[in-house]
Amino acid sequence: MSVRHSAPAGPGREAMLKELGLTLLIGLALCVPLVSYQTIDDVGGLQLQARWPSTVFILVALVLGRLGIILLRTPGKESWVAIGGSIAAAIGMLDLFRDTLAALLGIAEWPAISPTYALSFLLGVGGAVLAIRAGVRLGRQRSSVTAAQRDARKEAIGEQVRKLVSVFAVAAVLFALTLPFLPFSNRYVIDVATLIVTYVMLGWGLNIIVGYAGLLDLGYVAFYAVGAYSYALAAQHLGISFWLALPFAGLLAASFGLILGFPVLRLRGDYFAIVTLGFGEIIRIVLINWYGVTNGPDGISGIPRPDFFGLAAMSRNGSGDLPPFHEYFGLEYSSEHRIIFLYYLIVAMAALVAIFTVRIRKLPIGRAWEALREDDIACASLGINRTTVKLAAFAISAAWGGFAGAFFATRQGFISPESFTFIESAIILAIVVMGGMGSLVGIAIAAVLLIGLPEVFRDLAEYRMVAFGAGLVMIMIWRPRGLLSHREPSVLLADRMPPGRLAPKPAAAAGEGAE
Amino acid sequence: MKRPLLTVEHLTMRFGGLTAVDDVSFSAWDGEITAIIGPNGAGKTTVFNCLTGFYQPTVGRLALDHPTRGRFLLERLEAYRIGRDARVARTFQNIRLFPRMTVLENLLVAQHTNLMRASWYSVAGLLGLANYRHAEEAAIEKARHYMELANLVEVADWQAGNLPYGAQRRLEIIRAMCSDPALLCLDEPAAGLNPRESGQLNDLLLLLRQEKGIGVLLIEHDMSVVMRISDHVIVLDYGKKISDGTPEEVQNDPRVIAAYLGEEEVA
Repeated sequence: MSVRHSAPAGPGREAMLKELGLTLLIGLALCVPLVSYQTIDDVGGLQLQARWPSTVFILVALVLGRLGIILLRTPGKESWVAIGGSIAAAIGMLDLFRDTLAALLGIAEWPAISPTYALSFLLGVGGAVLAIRAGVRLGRQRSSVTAAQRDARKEAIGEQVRKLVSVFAVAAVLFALTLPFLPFSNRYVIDVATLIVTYVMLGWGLNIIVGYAGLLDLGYVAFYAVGAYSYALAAQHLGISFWLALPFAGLLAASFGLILGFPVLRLRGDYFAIVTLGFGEIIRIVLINWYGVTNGPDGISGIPRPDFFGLAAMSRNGSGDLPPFHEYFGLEYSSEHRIIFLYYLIVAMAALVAIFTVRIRKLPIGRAWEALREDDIACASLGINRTTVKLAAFAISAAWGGFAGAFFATRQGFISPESFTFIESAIILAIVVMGGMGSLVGIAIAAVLLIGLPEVFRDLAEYRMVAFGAGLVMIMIWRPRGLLSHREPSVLLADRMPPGRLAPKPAAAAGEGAE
Repeated sequence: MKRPLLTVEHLTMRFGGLTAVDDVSFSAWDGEITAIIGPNGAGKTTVFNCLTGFYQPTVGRLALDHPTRGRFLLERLEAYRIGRDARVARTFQNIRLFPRMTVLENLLVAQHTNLMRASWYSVAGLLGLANYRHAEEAAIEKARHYMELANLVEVADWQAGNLPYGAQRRLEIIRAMCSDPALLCLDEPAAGLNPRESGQLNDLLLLLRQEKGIGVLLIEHDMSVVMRISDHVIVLDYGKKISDGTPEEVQNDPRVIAAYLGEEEVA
């Protein structure tokens, strides 16, 4: 939140008008060249089309928003801002989903107020931000509690949240398991869910390097690519089935992790990050240019689908000597069987990563990773070989990336270097950081938000990346250390002692909240 | 006379043109506290960094005779092997704990080598085999023993970074102890402590020497600590050893007085 210099009495009428006028002027200066005219390709060549409704809408919204900010500073007017902001947010949101609404209500068209989707989005977000700020100010004034009391209350809420997290995790697992059979589920929902779970798995894999060992890896997608290509090539040239190729893809990715690890582990911090970034790019460029093996930018197509554990094929007519799935189980043929099978496959793989991670965190190697993140010089003085500990983190993390890559290849049936660009690494890293490094539940939530939301906002076309960015910015503002930044100790003495012997944890011990 | 635990011979450390430690030789014995004192910049911490492998000495031999594991030449070992094999543990002038981990976790990380072996490099641990579970119980028991010595049991599940300063110092010392050292190097353990905390620290150090019989090497500015608990004092000034002996001998050594208080004008 910005610092406000105004006197408590609030600005006078003249100052207010002056500020509003200035806002209008700046708005006009920016809007007229940027928004008011659009070039369109017409019969007689390029034509200028005036877009005055958009301009007027923006200017009105701008002045009203500025008015809201001014009133925020004026004591006693917050409730007006809260009401106005909520109305704006509601209008924006309704406009944004006008097609869905119209379909739901069975009317031809929703009477939209804003001229374009982008403006609806801005109106909704702007109104919401104003309303929330006003609400926070109101809440602060009403409560007469001291800062210490507020901290205590926050702490209590944090404790509640932590308890809820485990409940939430169980609910999420149940939801993931039953998803294909829920009433609203259809092919699209399962496809999106498969995509999200793939990123959850990648996030959990990268979490071992970034969240536990504290090494900023900007090239994680390289291991993903190694896994995908090793399955694709093994299937194409050697005819190896998915189930045999899966461990092979993981091992190959792990060895790439070791190959990368040896030279770079002597580097630290920024230098380390840059080298991993370079490694990711090297892999991609090799894939593009090594035409004889990888088929270059054309990619590899016709990658076989996984069979049902060697019992049945997941295609309509069966393949080779395997009968088709629906005949094997005496079901009616449905193209959804394969989609659902793939979905459960990735859920099972992600569950494997989660179980592994939870267990290894409580082992000496897991504690050594975290200790390395905290202070690697102290680690060396305690006889911990930093190189092998870091290499282990790299290899394990890379292996999970390789598994996910093999799954990606078999699901898509086609891979090309385009799927393994830097933006993929960045998204996976964003999921880990936003989730709260080290927290499996947090990472899963972040994956749902960062992968699921852009899918939901697909109506917004290219503006959906704005939604992605806005999500990132909001998390950075409100949860600068990630959604769930609480670190659960890997072992507690309290579990092995009669109750009451240990001192209660100090409030700060929770490590929650912004610093 | 018994063989010293640590024998430092002609240790010299040069950084470019600066000679931080100049031809220093000394010994330290089991069950004794050897203090290294000297004015600021005398090269005390540099000696420690050479001993624990963070610096490679320019010249000199650093031999550690472990009572059971044999002889190690520290100048040839990497830092982690000095901790793991030669069993030299240290603390740092500016405390280096694992601040977001709990007190107990800090003490378990110190037992990494043993636990790692017991978990068969994580395989037994992942499978949850009994032998690893027993090893972990034993490690926690050992950690609890040291926490009792250092009066830290009550805060075992606190994050180390939230402890009061004096408790952090004590935790760093018992964390070093958990790695089963033959020689414990303490770099200014009393720095920044109030008189009560530094009293607690003295008690802890005397207890450790008495019970565990290990050698302690101590850098300290606080003379009340040095004179009360050390058996043997080495004085450095400008990288050179200027005095070596019992606390009384050193206290009365004119060269030491000159180094600390300045030379008397000779008329």
